[in-house]
Amino acid sequence: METRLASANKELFISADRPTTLIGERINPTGKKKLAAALQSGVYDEIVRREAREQVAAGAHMLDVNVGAGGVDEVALLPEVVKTVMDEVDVPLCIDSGNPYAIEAALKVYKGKPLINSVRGEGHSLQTVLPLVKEYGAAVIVLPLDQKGIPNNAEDRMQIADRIVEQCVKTGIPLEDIVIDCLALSVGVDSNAGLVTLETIKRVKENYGVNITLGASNISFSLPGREAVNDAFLSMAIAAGVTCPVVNAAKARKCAQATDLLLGRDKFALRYIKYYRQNKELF
Amino acid sequence: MINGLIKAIANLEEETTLRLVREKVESGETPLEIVEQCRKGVEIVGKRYSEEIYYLSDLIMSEEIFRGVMEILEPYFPKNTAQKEFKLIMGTIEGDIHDLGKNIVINLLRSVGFEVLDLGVDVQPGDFVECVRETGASVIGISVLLTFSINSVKKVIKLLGEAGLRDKVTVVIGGYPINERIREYTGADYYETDAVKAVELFKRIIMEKEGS
Repeated sequence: METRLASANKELFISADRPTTLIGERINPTGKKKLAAALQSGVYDEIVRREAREQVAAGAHMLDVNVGAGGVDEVALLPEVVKTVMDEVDVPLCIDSGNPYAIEAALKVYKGKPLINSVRGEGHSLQTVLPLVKEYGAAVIVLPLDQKGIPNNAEDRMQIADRIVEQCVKTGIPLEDIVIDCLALSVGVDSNAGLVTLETIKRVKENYGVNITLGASNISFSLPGREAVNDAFLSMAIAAGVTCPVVNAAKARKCAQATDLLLGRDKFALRYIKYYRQNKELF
Repeated sequence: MINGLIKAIANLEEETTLRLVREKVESGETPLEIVEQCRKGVEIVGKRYSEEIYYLSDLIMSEEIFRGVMEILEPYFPKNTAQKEFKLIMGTIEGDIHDLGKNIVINLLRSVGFEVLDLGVDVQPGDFVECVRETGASVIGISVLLTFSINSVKKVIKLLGEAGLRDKVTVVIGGYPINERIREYTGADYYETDAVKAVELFKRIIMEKEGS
């Protein structure tokens, strides 16, 4: 299955037989005091542009854009920040908000075909987000969670995913425009969290064959030495079926490229060697 | 004085802890004395966590050990103390499913001996109020991370007012985006964004309530 996304001038295709698509996670104020303060004060141009530029330079193929800092008017701010990012870099964006009105406002200014992050398995989210996805011809990230929270097992996550996918299809959203987030939770909180996510990835791949994303760095939340855990998990997740993880590209790229090579997605290791040549200081 | 049991819990040694608890039960120590020692141990764990010596996993492990201790002691408690009075209600507000911060605060509160009723995530404003009415709790902690959900927090306060419960209940909001402006907007009594400070705040509130 192939998901097509686009910026103003460029197309991007996500699929399991291509190299892993990295969605840059850094334009998101959660846990980032400087960015949060910048968004709150309205003086964000420089920091947003820098984050956009640096992530793309570090190998991000797409960028997630989230402006949910305390006290900001997301409906007004999200489209403005999306415009700023579009002006700085030419990659497809992932429009990330829990507020359907903010998503709609951003869709109105977006040029190309974006990925909407996200829809959840409860009535309000389904009823407000899916019609927008359809109307604007976007693709959408599905979160298999509902009002009861995130299920701690793969079966329940699949049940919710089934429900949402059914609703997507009813709304007229084609399967290839659905990306499922298999939900990575911290193994520092529950040491089975990694297994549950990997099992969910396998089932989603078998049942739907759609593209799969993950907030991959969540896996190591609260732990020391996060990079070792992140890298090990990213490799396993990609091998299991994740095709477009949301990551810190500067840190995850090396691992993703090595994993792609190991999975036969990099003929004669050309991409890997080229990456090495251009980034020797990282090795 | 730090005895072997306190130390075993503080060092997260599950087997040693459970063995020591069994030995103490057999030698005739009362369950309350044993629980008090365990609580001290868990308190040290909380302290080490706040000093960043321990991580969240360690905090959760200490809860797990404490649960094991309570299982051993359960049959030895007099029946009437099994009834729990929930002083504190906590939950993540409607529309939001982030629960890590809330869980950390709940773990820390329980580690210092508070009864906390956890309503989970995506809690409807009406459910907070209903729960206050049912349990007689006098403190609510509301966790909110998504700014979109802040209006639902305001609604909790409004519903408490309509139910005539506002004066009886202290409302604390917490979560990454919260600041004084948001507290004022929602009408909550206090806010806190740091888990360890939040526990101090809850302690102060409950002590004042008990004093009055």
